[in-house]
Amino acid sequence: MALFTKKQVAIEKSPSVDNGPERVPNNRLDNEPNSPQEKQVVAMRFTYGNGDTPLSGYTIKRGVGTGGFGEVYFAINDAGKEVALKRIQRNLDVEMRGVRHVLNLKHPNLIALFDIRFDNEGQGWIVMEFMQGLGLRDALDRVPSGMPEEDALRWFGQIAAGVTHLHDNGIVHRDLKPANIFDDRGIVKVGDYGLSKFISASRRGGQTESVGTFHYMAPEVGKGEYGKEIDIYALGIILYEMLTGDVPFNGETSQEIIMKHLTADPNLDCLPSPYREVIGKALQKNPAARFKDVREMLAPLGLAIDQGGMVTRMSHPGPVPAYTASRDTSRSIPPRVDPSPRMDPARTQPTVAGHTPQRGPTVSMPPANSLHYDEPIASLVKQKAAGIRNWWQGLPQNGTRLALAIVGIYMLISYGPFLVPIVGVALVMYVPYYILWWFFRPPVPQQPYVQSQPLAARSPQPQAPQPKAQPPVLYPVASQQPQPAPSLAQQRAAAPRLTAKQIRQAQQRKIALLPMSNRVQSYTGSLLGSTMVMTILAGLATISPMVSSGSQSGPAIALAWSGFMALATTWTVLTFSKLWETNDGDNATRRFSMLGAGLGLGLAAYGLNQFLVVPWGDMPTMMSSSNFVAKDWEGFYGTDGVPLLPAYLAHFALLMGLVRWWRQADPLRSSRFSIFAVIGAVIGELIVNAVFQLPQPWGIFIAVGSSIAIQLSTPKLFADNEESHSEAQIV
Amino acid sequence: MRNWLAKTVAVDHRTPETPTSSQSTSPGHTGIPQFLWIDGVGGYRICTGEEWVVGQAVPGNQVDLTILGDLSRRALALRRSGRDYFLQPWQDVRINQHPIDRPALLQDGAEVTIGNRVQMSFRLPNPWSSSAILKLLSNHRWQPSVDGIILLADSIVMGPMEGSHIVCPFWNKELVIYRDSHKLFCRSAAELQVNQQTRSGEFELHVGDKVRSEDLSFGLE
Repeated sequence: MALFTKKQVAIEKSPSVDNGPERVPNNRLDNEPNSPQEKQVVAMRFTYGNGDTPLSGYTIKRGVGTGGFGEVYFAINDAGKEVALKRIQRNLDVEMRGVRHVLNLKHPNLIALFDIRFDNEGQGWIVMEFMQGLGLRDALDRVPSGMPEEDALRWFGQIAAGVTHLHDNGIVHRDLKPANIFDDRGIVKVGDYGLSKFISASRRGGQTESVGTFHYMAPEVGKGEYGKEIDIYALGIILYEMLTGDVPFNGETSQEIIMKHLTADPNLDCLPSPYREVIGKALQKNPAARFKDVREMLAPLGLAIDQGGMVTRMSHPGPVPAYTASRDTSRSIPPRVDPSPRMDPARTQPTVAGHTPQRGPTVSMPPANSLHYDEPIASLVKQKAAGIRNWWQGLPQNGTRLALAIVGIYMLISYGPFLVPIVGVALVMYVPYYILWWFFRPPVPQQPYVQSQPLAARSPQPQAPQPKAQPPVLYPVASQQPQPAPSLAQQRAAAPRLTAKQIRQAQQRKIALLPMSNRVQSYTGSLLGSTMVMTILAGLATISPMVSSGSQSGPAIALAWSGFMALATTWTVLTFSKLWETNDGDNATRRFSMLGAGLGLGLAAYGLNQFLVVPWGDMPTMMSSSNFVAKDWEGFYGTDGVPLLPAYLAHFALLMGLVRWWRQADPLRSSRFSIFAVIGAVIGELIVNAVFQLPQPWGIFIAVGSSIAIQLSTPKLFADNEESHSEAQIV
Repeated sequence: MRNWLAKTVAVDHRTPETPTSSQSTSPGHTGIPQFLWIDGVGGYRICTGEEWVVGQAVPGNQVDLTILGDLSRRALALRRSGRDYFLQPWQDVRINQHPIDRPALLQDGAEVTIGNRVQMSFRLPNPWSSSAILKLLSNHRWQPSVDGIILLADSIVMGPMEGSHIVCPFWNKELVIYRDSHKLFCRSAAELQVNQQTRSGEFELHVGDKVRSEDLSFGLE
């Protein structure tokens, strides 16, 4: 028996996992890269490999995935039937009991279970339908800002049909999540319902451990209540995620997510009616306040389950339920303004497996908008302005605002003469920059229909400019029912989490999956943004006494030289960083590459110096020190102490190789702008300067300017320690 | 018209599960593995040779690549010439929605529509390799069922980067499978376990080999 040891991620963890709720998609076989969340999960230990026959009659082709309950393989039986084999290695009794309950269920939107078998070692196996297509998790990862409405309805209608069939047979799935849902050639199938259980009168079964995934887990699960309302809650979360690209309750820790499920209201302002109302009612904290069944949930969306158990379009959508958030959740999200055309109702029909979409009534769609702050600088300014506005609004009313306003006005008056020209220069520079950006921005593929835009992005409701919806604000007050504290099982299940490195790798893979056009757009935006920043910095430097005082033009020429070199350094770093943003790579290799780039910069510095004829000799007082290592090295410095070509080459090569510049442009860095990174660049420059001196403070200006421009011009893509989905947390 | 366009496909009574490739490299004689099964990623069929006929997967049809779909028994032929791939249509075929009725050059990223429904993509993802990848875009399947077809010219690049023939997102390092004469070799910077024996550098791959390391595992059939 071959032992296939894949990356052992989190599987060898605490014993609590044995009873943990989390599992992975048991049946995914798409050949595309897995989602960032699943990647961590899939990369685990496979007991069997290609050609092994642990079950007589079945030959394993390859491993598909592993989960808390077992490993899943793609196998072919002797007759050529392709199946998925799930090897139950944990919680055997629990899983087998659940599977036996559902073994004979038949529905087109449920993954079929064929058999339960045991191998020679007594190991239990489930033989099930093999899914060829894409998982919903993957589909969601490909559209980080949300699916087009038609796609979301196609998925959701069929998921709901499968869940309805379970409920009609007295079964609660209990673990609905995108990782358990697949699209097999246009037919959506819900899988992994081995944990399902019969709905009992007491709503308590033999399985006492907490089930479900944190992001999709209803609040009452912590109390051991497993009614079908928890599936409706999960359906609400999934619908929200499909439309917005993010789950409504997210957090940096599992505990935070659970607490939000228990206490926070979802931010539904980014959704139009009837989705806002439907999701709002599905996500009620009180199970009794939710839809009483899935059919009731589908009606306002214009969907219904027919006699055959298939989802169909209704000629008239059902009434939209009333929903009012217990508090305003939109405060942190700036409004969007521009109206855009209404979507064509004829285009909104969901495509349902086996059903030709019929023209009919559609969802009520308020006028959408299209004010996109795609231009990176405007987007950043808007984002910061929103943050300042929220901070201001959050200040106490006890005079703090007044005091701060007085201080602000005083500072404005004091520094006005300095600020006005800077702002003026910035504005003047922005206009040609924006024109250039507009003309040279990468082409965006035209969507054939208006509704191809993510629904959330078309909403007239307040929304953040980022592609992903902002996580909702956590409110400390419970909503509509007494909230239980997280159970011991929840806390125990919450313990195992991804390491920071694993999260980082997942995020890097998510970046790697972004369309190339997005990355090119981000790159060009960074180049132009850094130019703007450098222009402003140079403008600021011109008002310093060192440059502005006196009649000699030397300092001004030196400033121009250092400004251009800082910009060249910035662009070099941005280019390398863009190439390296999808993985951490090897530090030594990257330093060496940067060192090589530094040689090029040194050459450019020398060439520019010759071109501008910087009068270093006329500025002897600006040499920082008369003692440095290479002072007397042959050919490095002239007799007047002016650096020659080798000194430029050595200085820039050493500076680029010494400081890990690419980290300052890392989209996954901990903060957008770090003063410590700037200090690090200065220290690096001073160290290099102690060996190969350049005229100062121009060398420091290059280091500081580059660091600032690099950081400000590159966006930070993820929130700190963001874990998009809790699937990755537990195996 | 070159004779490859009118070639006759040799009769072969292998079962669908048996690896098949081009006529010029019949399995069993070359010993080159025909299938690549990568855990957590997918299954790929390795096709050597220079010419391949694509047709419908029906009993008795002995063409090189069969698709379970509504297409002719001999729908089209593909031929490699250097790094160029040409497509000869024998039924209604469109490349990027443009109907073609004569041999056409396939560009990287081309979408080939056969008949009304069957659609596949053609990729030459790696600039240093002439090997191509075929994948079905429509809801059809290759027979035998795999996730893609590798038209092996010289090498197959597998790894986490986009330019790989097979993107394996969990892998930390690139791995290259290359062809030398009638043998397949593996080259990797990582230390690998082949059939539970430690190997590194370059080594030959055989049918039935199982290769693994800390972050990858695949089998050859």
